[in-house]
Amino acid sequence: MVAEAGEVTTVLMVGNPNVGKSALFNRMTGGNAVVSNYPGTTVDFTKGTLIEGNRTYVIIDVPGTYSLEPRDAAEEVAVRMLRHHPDAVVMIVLDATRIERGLYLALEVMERGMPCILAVNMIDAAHEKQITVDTAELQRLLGIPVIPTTAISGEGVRSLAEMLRKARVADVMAVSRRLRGEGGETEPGRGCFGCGGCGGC
Amino acid sequence: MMSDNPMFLNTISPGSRVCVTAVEGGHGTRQNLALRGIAEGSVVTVVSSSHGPVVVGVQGTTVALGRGMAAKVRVRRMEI
Repeated sequence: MVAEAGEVTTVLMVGNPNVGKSALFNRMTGGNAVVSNYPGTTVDFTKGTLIEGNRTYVIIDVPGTYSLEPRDAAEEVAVRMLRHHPDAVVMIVLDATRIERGLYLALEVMERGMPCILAVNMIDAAHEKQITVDTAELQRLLGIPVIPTTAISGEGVRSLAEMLRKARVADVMAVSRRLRGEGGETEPGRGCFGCGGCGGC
Repeated sequence: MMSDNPMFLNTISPGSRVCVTAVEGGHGTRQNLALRGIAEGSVVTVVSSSHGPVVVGVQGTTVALGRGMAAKVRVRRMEI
């Protein structure tokens, strides 16, 4: 048969409801998850495959959740997915027009010690509303790769796929130190963690 | 003259814009609502509240609250 396409990594897409996880999922995997303009469309998970470089990623589109303390069936599915895939990479998806609301969940996920990558989706809608998201600063504060994307047009999806390999475990204590402005500079992050400029080294 | 009687979200008529002054209830309720954009200081527009759940618009999204939960959200009318 065909040569093995390297190792297989599971990627869980986690985020608030209605931030465009399914649209992003379809973009990345060519899947046909149902996308609609109201929250709570995904109540079960959808799986798809992405081959990037010589790596294979199994991407799982997880139902939207506001926190990791489940309050409904869909949120329970999300929490269960995280628990059942302890060695997965977590792709946190935020809505660029409502960053602050997604950060709670983002930090909750980061606290679990799983390698994370953050997609700031709907960046086009944010531009329209004259909202600018300083992704470089967000990346510095959180210590995980942050990629601006627009799932609808496909902008940033390529670099998001390339950056999956740069997902890293966030140090939540370091995040809180950086937010308080205490000695964050001592730890600039070992090596490259993804400005995207090199196209993935 | 402001009345001293507190107003709650379940008593506001549709179309009004109100500012949330407090959410009464436990940690769970407050967190639940805050994650959906309803917390002290947020401005909400009541979309529907005549019967059934209280539907409010918050920061471009719509949130439906059960009447019991809406009765825990203390609000103040916004001067237009």
